[in-house]
Amino acid sequence: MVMTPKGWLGIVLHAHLPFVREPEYEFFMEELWFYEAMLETYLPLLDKFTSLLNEGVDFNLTMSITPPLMEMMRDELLKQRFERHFDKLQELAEKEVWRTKFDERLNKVARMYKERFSRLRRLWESNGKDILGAFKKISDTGHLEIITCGATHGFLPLLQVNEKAVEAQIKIGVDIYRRHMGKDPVGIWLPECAYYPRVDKFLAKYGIRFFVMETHGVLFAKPMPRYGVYAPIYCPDTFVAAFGRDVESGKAVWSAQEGYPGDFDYREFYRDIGYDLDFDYIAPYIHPDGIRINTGIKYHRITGRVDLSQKDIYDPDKALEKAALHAGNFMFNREKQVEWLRSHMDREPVIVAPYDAELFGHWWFEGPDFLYFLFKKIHYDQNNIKTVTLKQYLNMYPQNQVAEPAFSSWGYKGYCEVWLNGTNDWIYPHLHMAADRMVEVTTKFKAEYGKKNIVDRAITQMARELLLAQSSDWAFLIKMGTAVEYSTKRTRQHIWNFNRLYEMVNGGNIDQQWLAFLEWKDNIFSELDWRVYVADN
Amino acid sequence: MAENYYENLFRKEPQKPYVDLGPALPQNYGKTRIVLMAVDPWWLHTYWEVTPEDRENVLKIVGDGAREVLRVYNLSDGTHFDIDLIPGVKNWYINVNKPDGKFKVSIGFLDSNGNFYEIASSNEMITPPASVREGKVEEAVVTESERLILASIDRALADSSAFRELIREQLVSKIAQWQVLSSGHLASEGLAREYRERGEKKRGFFLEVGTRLILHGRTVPGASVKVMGKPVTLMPDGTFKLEFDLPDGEFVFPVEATDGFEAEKITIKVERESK
Repeated sequence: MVMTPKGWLGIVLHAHLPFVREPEYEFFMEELWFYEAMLETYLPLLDKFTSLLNEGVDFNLTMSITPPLMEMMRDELLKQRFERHFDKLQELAEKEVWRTKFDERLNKVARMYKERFSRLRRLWESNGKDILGAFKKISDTGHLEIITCGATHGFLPLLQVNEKAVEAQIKIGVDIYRRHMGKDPVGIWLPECAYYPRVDKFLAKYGIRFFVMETHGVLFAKPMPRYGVYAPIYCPDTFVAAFGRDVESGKAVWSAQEGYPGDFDYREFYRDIGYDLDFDYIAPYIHPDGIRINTGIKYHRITGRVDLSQKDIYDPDKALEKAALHAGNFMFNREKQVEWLRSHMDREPVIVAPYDAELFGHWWFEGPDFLYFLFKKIHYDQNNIKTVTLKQYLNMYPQNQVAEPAFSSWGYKGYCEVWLNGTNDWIYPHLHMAADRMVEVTTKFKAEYGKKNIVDRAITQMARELLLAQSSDWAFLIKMGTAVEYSTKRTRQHIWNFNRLYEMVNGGNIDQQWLAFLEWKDNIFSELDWRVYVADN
Repeated sequence: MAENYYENLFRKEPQKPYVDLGPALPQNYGKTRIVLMAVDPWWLHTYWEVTPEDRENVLKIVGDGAREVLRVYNLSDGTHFDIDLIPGVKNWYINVNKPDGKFKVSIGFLDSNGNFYEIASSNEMITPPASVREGKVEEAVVTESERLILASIDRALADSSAFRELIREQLVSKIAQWQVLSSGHLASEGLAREYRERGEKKRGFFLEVGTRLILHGRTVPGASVKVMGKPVTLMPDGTFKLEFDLPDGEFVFPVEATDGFEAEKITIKVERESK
């Protein structure tokens, strides 16, 4: 008989990247987002989960892997290019061990990278170069609950003027999950945690049982939830569960000021040899046009509030000790939190702690180690809390209060402002018009579905272009002033492609060659059921 | 070794990559429509397109001197207000300050008798709540213990921004007994996303710029003044003041004044461009 703890900890990692695949170019800067995330987050997380499993640790967590990311992980071209990137990085790491041999401290870090890359390389090879398959295997043990997301991470509240667009994001997100995972998803990460009232009707329609919200999404529910965010609520009518984010555990990790990742012993993200070293030496490992970029090899620690040039050398052992210390601190705080909550609740509270997966490893280099230590400590060192997947939790606690969650998101200020402001509001008239046109065309030509003829293919491509344009990433990046040109271009290009296809399909003269080119270039979702857009009678 | 290492720092400036913004998109789709979205509990955003034909058709019925306006309907309380449209503008941010409110907007003409001629009307939109919901509390019996749990969230939010103060004020006045706080501002504190930023270090730093144009002037007390053809109420001392929140674009403000014998006209042109 397993002892019931005083409370549960539901860690949720949200793994997402926009679909970035540029087959026309040998080297494309934004594709590095994927290679870096693979090397710094996804493979290290897989490594840690595998270790925990082998060590018999009872670790449990929920992880969303978004449909674009699933597609990228399984894309042959991106896999080849990732290996090419990996080869070069390993070559550079090897050279670095030589270059630094007269400086003991630097050399220690260089050797750490070399060994780390070799280990991840073995992991990659031993899993048949199929990282998604490897995550799936772990999910089959029940310790890891992989959930889906909107098809291309569309910000649903801003698409709701045509709800077919919202439904398609959900339905296609479920379809893609099923294709890659071979089973139905039970949970979803609503893109940007953005919920608007009644969007759960589409979740219920496609078999989704739960989603995660920002704190106030649950706190401001109607009626007021009696346990705050420490128990899920059920949406009225659909009974889809909404889990609210815990504030304390969020701050401990997220906050730039007081969060663990800012510790002075941790690795500094912004000092990279791609910028630091002599140009001729580093040239083969940066942008072919000579633009300096991050290589992933970084020798410095955060040190303190000092200029980048004043950063001290990183010590991997010391950083690892810190990660273990922070894991202990995090566990202790959750224990105290749960003890206190439990004394005021008639059931065990659940602390839901969602994070961007890429925070762990990519931004917070020691993040995967932190998680590893945390799961081990929770397993071995105490009995107050246990980790849980959100699915496991719902199976244990199927009775929950019914309340309507509040319109909210996890973006800055908690609503839609990040994705709808003076910098990016120009996107929406086009997205909305395209959604209307999609409904129009699919309704008109619904008899062509599945025939694989030119009309069916063109409409399928229209759906791809529309979905790709809807990624919330573009509006977000434009607002943040990061990769603005690329995000603008992607939005405009997909809309432009969509509009041209629309004219062609309606005009009955589809440019076959151009269509084939688009199918090759924007190849996300090889199978796509566009009937979801057909207007209801 | 270490000295050499630092000497190499930032030796070569990164070059600016090639900039390609992609193909231009249509300015219009040839379809009259107006769409309403909620930005947050206090602001709405609307955009519209009116075809020349649809505008003409309405103009035919409307008499001279009609102004093009956005009519904002508060469907929760049955009230409405109008916003004068600046020619050429195709979208607007509307300050409604009404969490949990139901709204709709129409675009149309307002004649001098106050009659409104609608060209198009939007979808309905409900603004998000900004605090713990009132009413129906009996369904969620809040015990002393539960109140404490909620208050613990308050404590977790112990330090924070001015935005928090804003929410606090609202809450304290509305449901003083609970002291529950919104995490709205805390929603990742923008940090979740800052971590994703590349290139430069921007922790906690941000810049937001708005532009408010104040158009002010003075004439003979009792004179009649029109700005953009619209009569302006003068202060007893003959001064007047108008404020506009401007999006990007070029705006022309013709100002006319007359005392019945003489007339003066000054036109101000303003351009706002965000870079």
